[in-house]
Amino acid sequence: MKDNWTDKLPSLMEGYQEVPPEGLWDAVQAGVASPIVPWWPWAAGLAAAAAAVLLAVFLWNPVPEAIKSDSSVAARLADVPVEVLEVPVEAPAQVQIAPEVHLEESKTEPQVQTEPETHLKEEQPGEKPSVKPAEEPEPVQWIEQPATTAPRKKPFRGKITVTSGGALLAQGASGVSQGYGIPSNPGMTVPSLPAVKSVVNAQLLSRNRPSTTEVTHRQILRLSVGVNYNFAPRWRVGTGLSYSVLESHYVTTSGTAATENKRRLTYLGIPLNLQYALLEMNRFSLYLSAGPMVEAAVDCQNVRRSYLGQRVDPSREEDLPCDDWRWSLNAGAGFEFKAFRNAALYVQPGLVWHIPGPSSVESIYTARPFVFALDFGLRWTL
Amino acid sequence: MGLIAGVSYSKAGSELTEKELLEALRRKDSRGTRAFYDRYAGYLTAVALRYVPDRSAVKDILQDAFLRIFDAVDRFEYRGEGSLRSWACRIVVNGALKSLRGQGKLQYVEDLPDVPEEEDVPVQQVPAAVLQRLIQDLPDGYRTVFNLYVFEKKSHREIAGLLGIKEDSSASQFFRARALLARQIKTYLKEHER
Repeated sequence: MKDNWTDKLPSLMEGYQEVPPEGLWDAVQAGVASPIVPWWPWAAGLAAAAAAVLLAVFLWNPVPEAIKSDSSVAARLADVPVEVLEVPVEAPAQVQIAPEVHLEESKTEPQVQTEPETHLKEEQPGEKPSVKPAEEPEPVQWIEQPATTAPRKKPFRGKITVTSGGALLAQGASGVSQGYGIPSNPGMTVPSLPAVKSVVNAQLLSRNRPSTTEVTHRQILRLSVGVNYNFAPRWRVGTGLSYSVLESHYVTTSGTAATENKRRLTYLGIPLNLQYALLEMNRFSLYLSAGPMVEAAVDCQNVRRSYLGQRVDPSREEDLPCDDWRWSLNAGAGFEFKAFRNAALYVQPGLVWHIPGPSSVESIYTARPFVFALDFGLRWTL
Repeated sequence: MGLIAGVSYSKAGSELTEKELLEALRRKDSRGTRAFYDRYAGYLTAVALRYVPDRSAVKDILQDAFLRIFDAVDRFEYRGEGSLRSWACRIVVNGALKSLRGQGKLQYVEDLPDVPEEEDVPVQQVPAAVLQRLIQDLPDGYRTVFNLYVFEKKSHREIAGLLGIKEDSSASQFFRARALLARQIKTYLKEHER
């Protein structure tokens, strides 16, 4: 039989063994903690999670395109009598407007040269406005004010705000500031003013009235990808890339006029974290994390809408100066799920202290340096 | 009695029967996984190296295989002593085939000259470690078909299905592998004649 000798081979090598490769048991042990799972359920789950995050961000962030609802602001002005302006006023090509011109004393008259006919006679709502067109339109001169938001008379106070569109519970910061002046876009240089019948121009007529600004900052939402290195049992150091979205809502009212600004700022940051695993159980891990992060503003947008009584100007989208760098210190507790052998999805709520510094744009970073932030994302472990 | 080529390693749990070992594995007991590893790691390493001579690749194959075994042990049907080891061996072989396929090493050369058939090969005179090395020295395609046919008891039809080749091709690869190995064994015995 030709096959005889090959038939003997299995029994001859039945008990033959070789030394397992070095480190095999350690590798197996490490794998037992995060066992192999079929790739497709996790790929599907990851895709679903990414879709959910994108949807949440989309619903959570309806600002940039336009201010969709003006009902809340308009409702505040509903009871205010409206008088139609028919005064053509030629405005200068570029006007620097103080966001909120706060005067220390209400009795102090701003040093503004205006045409007296342009003041509304609100004391006698039944009468027609005693506004007469100027025969020789003159450029209006405005108060020279630095293009920054004036100091607020009241500090910000925190409040809980629940977003209507997304699943996220947002803790923001809101506040009210009062002063005198023109409701405008805080901290901005606005383009030339529309000349005739403009609500913006009409608002200017209220510049000597007390103004109130309500500010609401939404919770910071941060999406990250990162990489960790285990340098000791339970200890690891990590870095990556963080994408943060900041949203603020400003409503400034003054007499019959109001301006609503919705601002969206996007920052890209590089964190450096030291992490300690409190609890490691199968694929789950609970850990503490702390470290600095440097961020740069990459996109700053503002959508503005003006109101005069029931009249509403179309919303306008504007780009803000956007050259802001921020350093912050972050600390939080995170929950990690090892979806793959070397990669994990995580959610990490925590506190952030933004180191104060000059900024070209107002945001929650400047208004409330010490804030809560929700960080979530995907990280690889080396 | 197992043969160890090299340094000895822990034998903890070797006194357990396969059924007891299986129950320990199913309890997800860390001592059970360690006992299973201690008992079968050497054997499974030898099996993997017979298919893939590269030790670093074998480490990956075995790590993956052990994790699959621990993960799928609840679905394993016990059919008597030895069935657990056979099942583990099949998982390792599948991993080895996957590795070879991934490395593009399952190339089958058809143009090699025929090797004359060797008969009366005194294979029992050759140590197992030498047989292992001689099998490892076979070309990848020959070695794979030879291992599947001789050690896994696969038919050429099954091998053809596993490797995506024709049944005739499997048979010709096997006969050439056997002839080549027989010649190498005879050469070895001739060199070690006293």
